Amino acid sequence: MTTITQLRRQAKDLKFAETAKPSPEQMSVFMPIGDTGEKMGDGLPIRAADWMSRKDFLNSYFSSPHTKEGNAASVYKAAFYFVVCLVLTVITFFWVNHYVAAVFAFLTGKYWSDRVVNYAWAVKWYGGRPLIHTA
Amino acid sequence: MQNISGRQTITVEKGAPLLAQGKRWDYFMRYQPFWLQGLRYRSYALVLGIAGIFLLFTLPLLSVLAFAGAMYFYRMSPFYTGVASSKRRLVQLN
Repeated sequence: MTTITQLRRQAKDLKFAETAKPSPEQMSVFMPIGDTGEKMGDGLPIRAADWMSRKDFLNSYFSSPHTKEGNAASVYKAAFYFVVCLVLTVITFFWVNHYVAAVFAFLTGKYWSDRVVNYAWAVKWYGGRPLIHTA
Repeated sequence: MQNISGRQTITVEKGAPLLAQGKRWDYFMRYQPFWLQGLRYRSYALVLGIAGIFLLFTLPLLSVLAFAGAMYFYRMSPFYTGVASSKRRLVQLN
């Protein structure tokens, strides 16, 4: 038969007991998965682990709806548009109208800069970031 | 087996690691050849199939070869696209 004082003493012992600390190997790390859309105070998204398949990863590199999307495919796409616009600039300058040629010259420069920016962003910066994959 | 300490001793080889960390670009360059090869094989199958239909009425002997090639590339393409479009999981730290 345990008295109320014994129970109180047991509770006090439990409260001040030295709990065994787990070793670093046993400790778990909280890793937020996915993007909740929440933002930090400075407006940047909360850092999270994006959990995806290899198919989605390759798709994210290949499929781009437009050149501003910023992936490997957009580099090639912008380079292709650059060549097309350069050819059209030369053709329109000599055989159509130099005002029309100016429009294509503008587009040539736009796509050249798109190519450079997308390469710097998607290939150099994004590609240089770490990726954890199955060995 | 019991040794002198009275505990069971088991010796195991250290297995391969489950996860590895690398650069995104390196991982992309590792698997994009499979993707492109699969797309190439699919396009070969389509072109050879169309060529086979046209050759059927002019050069039937060649059309047989074209259909055989079309079927070969059609059946082989998943072996490449399947590697690239695998469900293997990745973790990107954003």
